[in-house]
Amino acid sequence: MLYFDNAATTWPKPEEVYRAHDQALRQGGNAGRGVHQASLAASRTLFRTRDSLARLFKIKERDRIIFTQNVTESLNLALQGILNPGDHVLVSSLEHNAVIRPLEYLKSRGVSYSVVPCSPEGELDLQVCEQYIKPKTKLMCFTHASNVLGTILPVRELGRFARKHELLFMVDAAQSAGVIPIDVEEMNIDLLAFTGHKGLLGPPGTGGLFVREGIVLRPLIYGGTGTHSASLSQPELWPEGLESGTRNVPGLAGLNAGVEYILARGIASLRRHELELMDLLLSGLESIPGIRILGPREPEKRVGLVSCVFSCHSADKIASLLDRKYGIITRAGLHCAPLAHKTAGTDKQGALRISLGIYHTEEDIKSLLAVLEELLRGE
Amino acid sequence: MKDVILIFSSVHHTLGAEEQLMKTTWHFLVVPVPPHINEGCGLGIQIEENEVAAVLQYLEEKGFSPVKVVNL
Ligand SMILES: Cc1ncc(COP(=O)(O)O)c(C=O)c1O
Repeated sequence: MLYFDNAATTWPKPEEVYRAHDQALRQGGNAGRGVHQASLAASRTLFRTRDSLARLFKIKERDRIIFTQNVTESLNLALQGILNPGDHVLVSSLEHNAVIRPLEYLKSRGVSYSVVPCSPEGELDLQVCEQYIKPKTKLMCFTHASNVLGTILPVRELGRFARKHELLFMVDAAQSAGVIPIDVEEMNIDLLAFTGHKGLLGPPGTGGLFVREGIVLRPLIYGGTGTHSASLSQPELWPEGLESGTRNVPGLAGLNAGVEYILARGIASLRRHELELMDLLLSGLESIPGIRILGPREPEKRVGLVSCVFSCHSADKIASLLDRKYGIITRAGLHCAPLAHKTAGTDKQGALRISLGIYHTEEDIKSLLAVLEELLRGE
Repeated sequence: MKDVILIFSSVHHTLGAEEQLMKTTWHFLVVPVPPHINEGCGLGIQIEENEVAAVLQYLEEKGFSPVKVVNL
């Protein structure tokens, strides 16, 4: 099997991740519940995972990292936790439904939002952004990289822009965490939402939200924290007051191993490998007639994914042929991001997405290109 | 020798203090806080009474001050 759906979830994971997950599951213990050895070991796993993430994202306050199940929960926690009736939010036209659907729900609570249009390649103009600011704008919520077009948004500039306009700045780092360097200080990121199972190489069921000191956040879930148990009301505590219910300790142990793997290999070297493969993939796709590539042509402007459409076939048909006949896994459809597809003009037909992983080789890309060539020239 | 327990606001902060104390030679133990002490996260760090002042100063420098010090 050739797996090209790493933007959905990365596979395979580094060996260390499987081992850490297995070990934590065998070790047992519920973090923060009790003070026996097993519970303490589980609590220390969470502590270590916050620490490695803090090193990766240059976060100073480790206690401001909250663990969730995935970035969707992180985005919900943030949007539902800081927005109040009357507040207005700016988002880009590349956002995933993980941002748009909570905002649609919040409309019923008196929150409004505006979509800043990007170019068909997914590029964003800050001057256009400026036109959408309203007196009640409180938050800018932008994806770091589009899961459809691959385009990387100018997060550093957006952070500066948010500071200048005194707006909170949240980044959906689902596609960028572990792939491109993130520095929450330098980039002025107030809230960073990430998922564990993509570029961070951890297991599914892990994610988190960093919230800058001073920002008040209502919990999304109320309940047991293992702490302050005599109190019937939710403790206002970071991070545990926002983490009611048992955390996924084995998953977070795996996530820690994934992050440590990235820190050890170095994000720059992983990125260099990705860019080499992207260059090969993009130029190969361009040379096959009947393929239109979405997003910018330059590999440096994108993360390791390419979506494309075909002049004579539906993306669904190609994806299904690749899967059944050749054992090549890609993903067709709208990728939970209808706005991004609308931006590219592919909201009616969808597209085929090819997404790379850290273990891919030039040979893998060449095999994929050869099969696509055969499929498309064959008819 | 009497012991005291340092109580922190959260499990995370308790483990942060533990991380700092592991770099020293002081004897300490992460222990449950008796339920009648209705404060903190349920976990505490037990240290020897005669070392309290030095430990507290060290933890303050590291940004991990306890919310309470309880005599056992
Ligand atoms: C940009 C973006 N945001 C949010 C998500 C949702 O991720 P998850 O399912 O891990 O919550 C994804 C992945 O599908 C994504 O690519």
